[in-house]
Amino acid sequence: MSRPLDGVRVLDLTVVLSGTSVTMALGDLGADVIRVESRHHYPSATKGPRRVRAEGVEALGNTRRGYADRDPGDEPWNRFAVANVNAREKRSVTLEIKSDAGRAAFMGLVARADVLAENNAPGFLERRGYAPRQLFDVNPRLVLLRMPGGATDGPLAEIRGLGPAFEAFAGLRDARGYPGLPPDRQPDSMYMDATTGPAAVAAVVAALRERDRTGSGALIVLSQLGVMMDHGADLYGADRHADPPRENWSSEMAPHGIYPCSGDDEWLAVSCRSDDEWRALADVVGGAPLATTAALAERLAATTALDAWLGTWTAARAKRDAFARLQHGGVTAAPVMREGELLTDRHLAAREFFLDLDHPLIGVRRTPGPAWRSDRWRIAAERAAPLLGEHNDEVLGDLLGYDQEQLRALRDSGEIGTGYT
Amino acid sequence: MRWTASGLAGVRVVDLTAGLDGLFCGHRLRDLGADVTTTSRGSPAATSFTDGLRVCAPDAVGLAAEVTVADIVVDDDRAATAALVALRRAGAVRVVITAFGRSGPYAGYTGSDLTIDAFGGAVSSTGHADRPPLALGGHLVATYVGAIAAAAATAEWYLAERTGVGATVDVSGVEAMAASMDRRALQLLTCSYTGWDAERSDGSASPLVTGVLPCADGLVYVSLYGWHVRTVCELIGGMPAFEERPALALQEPGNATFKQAVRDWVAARPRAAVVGEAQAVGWPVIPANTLASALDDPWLDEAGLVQTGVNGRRRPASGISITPATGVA
Repeated sequence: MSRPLDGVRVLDLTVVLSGTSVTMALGDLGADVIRVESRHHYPSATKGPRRVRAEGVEALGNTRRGYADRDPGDEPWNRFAVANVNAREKRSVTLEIKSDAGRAAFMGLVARADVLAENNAPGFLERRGYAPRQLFDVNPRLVLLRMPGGATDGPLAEIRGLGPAFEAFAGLRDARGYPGLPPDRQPDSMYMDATTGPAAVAAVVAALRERDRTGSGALIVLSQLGVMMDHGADLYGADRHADPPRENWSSEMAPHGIYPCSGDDEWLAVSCRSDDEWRALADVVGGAPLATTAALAERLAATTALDAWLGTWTAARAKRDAFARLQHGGVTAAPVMREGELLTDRHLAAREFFLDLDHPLIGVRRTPGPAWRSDRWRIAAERAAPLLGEHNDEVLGDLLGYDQEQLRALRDSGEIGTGYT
Repeated sequence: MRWTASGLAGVRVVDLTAGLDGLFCGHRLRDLGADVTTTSRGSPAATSFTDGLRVCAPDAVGLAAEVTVADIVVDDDRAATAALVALRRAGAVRVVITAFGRSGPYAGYTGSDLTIDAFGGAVSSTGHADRPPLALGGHLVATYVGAIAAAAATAEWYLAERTGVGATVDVSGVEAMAASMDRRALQLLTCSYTGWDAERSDGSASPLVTGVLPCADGLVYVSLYGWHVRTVCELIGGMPAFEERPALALQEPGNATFKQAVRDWVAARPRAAVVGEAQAVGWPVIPANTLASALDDPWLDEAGLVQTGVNGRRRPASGISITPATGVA
């Protein structure tokens, strides 16, 4: 059972969510992904605070409170969802790539790698003496993937920030929002972190294909901002988006929205995508305020009345019951799902979407699987996230040929280890 | 910078889908160098993704012949295209995009951007607790699912080209969203770790100013957390109490005073000055735009991230550049 990237080795210098998701996806495709981390520089954006009190965890907010069993423990970075969500199947090595010993080991790994991926602050590689040309001199077949927020040169290279800020730069926050609220009260998303992953995977594989034909490695620069903007290309221009956002309203479908269902904070999304679906919706719900022959323009003009009519029907029903009735009746609908519901959903279970991976400190936990599947191969699904430096001896010994004495010297000097200094 | 790539040169792709997901898949593969044929759609949005693609009618004479020699065929499992799909050659890769996937109890259920996001994405936790949850706007779900399909197509073709064995790929919209880095995958693992569902939130984790603010000539996005307070005080000036004890800015009555001072400082300056001065001291303030203004932004223009399409209309560039190592100075 061959996988697309069997035999490909990836050096992973990525941080936070977008970059780490790229290298995990390459690992899903069969690549051997070696994460290279510093013991002396603690990456708090990726691994959370060095010390966290268990009693304060719940208040940390949706994206920062994910400590296994709600207990950060003595090594919170190993129990933190942000650090672990994109780490399956990876191996972890600690190296100080600025020191002489670290540089020698790192360049040894570069010489044996097919891909090096990074999304650090602008100039991260250059300041450490690893400009692209220097890396290609060591390994002309290397595919170097750089994923700046904006660009690697020019004025955007000086701009630092996280995904939600770049989403504002792109203007895409306009694509949704509540009417009547000021911009700083509209909700953030992390759409940029999502769009980087598949773009980078496709670019890396395309570059590997080109390398197979020409023998030459490549420099990939992937502007996370640019890729995100490309996704919203149809939204741009004053003539395309003159209206302010109106919740979940659409100019292309009606009714179209998220409607309350019975129970606390339960919702159903409905998209009436065509005249046929409008007739089907009117038939399932009954008592429609418009004729079943009403065209889109007429339905859009009656949005308020249609929303009230449909909302009354959904409010009397459980969201899953309404979902089934509408789908079976020929109407596009779906419940708004919470995480716990998805983790136990029968459809995703039947498709084996989730992976139950064993972590050495945390035990077996359910994690989202890949976004797509092939009929020819499955991902290995053998390892959850590695511990910091878990594979130092394995990688430096087996790959670079370091003997026990050399490994001991690196340990004694603090170069390699399994904890932060 | 020129955002161009050619790694998929010589790869022939036919997109038979009716939605924007398959069209965006073809668009991305074209940006990586593939030769792509797609079919015409009624949607005005579709014209934003057809630059460089060959567009023909769904019943065009010659489409069947293209399918028979295609390396990658993209479809959405509709009966209307089943006969065409069946013409693909044995070594081709078939990528099937559907809302819920090709198997399981909900196979065959239909989807839209809104409903796919509602089921798979982070909708339940997006927005304010006293209002309905919010989905991603426009067609951002469809284009994201299309990007997943493009990554899948590229990887599978890389294997098929070497082995001579074709494959079928199942892309489920709801699974693409559930595995997405737009918070959902992280929230699912967090729930798995803790048992906590994500709460509906506007996304800001800061008690200080976070979000889009008006400046003298436009908009900026301000990210401001507790560890920025001293730096911001030094930059703005006139707030020695907060500079000495940043914690005062996090609680009332200081919180309101501090936030207003930040808003006033931003409002009094042009965008370039706000961004330049803040970034220079490590405070991540970024230019912001509306959808109407973004394509005229000089920063984006200078970076080459806005280009003129084949119809003369301005549009975003691909954002992807691949340069052979031999050409890197």
